[in-house]
Amino acid sequence: MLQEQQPAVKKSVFSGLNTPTAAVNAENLVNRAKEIGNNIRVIHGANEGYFPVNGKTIGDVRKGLKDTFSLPGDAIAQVDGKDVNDDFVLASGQSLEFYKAAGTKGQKFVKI
Amino acid sequence: MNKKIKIIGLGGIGSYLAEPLARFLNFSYKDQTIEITLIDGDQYEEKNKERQQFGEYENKAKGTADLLIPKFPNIHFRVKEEYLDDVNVISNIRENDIVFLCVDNHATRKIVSDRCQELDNVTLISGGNDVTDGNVIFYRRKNGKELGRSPTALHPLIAKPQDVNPADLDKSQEGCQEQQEENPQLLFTNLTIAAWMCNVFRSSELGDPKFEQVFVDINSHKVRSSPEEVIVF
Repeated sequence: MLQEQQPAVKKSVFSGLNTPTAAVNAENLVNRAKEIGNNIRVIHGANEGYFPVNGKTIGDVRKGLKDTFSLPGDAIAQVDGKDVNDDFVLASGQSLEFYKAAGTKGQKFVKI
Repeated sequence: MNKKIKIIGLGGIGSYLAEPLARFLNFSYKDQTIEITLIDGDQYEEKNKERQQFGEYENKAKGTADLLIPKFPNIHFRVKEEYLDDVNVISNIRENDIVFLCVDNHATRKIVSDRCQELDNVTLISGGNDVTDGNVIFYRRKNGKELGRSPTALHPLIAKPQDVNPADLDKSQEGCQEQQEENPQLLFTNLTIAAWMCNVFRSSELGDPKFEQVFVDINSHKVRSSPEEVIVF
């Protein structure tokens, strides 16, 4: 049986994706994954993102994200699930979460 | 099958939660007996008009019941004009209750969290917010086992509250006490948290949700549930 020879195809990482758009999207995904891998995930409540804060302290991140992440000054910081203070220095691949239970009026009562 | 609902706190969040919840229950559960107990020791005041919806200047639980009873004839409303404390929480929160906790202090959240942990079957939906963000905690116990972490396990400030339980303040007879500045509150944040408490309730009626908390931020317009669902392809 005669078998037709297929023309040589230049192989790339994205071979198998049969549309130009799909190939570009996949490439973007890979680049994004590489970027995430080098950065630190920061979370506060509804807000989360990956930031290039390797070598920065918790205090630096707290100041930088205070407005964007609605970060209260007394939120507790945890790195990879453990409580840390503001002098702690962050390293690539770590995950930082600020948390504080919302919903107090902050009432204080004193005797006079 | 009967449903016993407890709404604790009818202020900023509770006053926006009560009516849509009652409306949903009144028309969606026609074959069940629905009882809603409204619990609050506070009074509506002039200053509450900015954020809370109410009729007369009266006890918040009674005032809310007065507004809802004519609208929802399929629901039996009960009123408790009191703040929760370590003693009355036992009669106020019982087996198989669905508890909506809408208070503004961690001291009461601890009392409720501890009480729920004593029960075999209970659902607790607790909402709270700061100025522009907040969260809803979901806690369920089924046949003596908890399906997620309690509010006290999730937040150290609830486990060891630094604030005052209004019930303790109300009973205090020692000297004079002066209220200091309160943290500001925003109507839209209260409303958002009340809506998410209803959403969490709906999820809890459809099954056992896997999340423990839903966080909302009305500045960044983001919502996140935790823990996040792990998707396996």
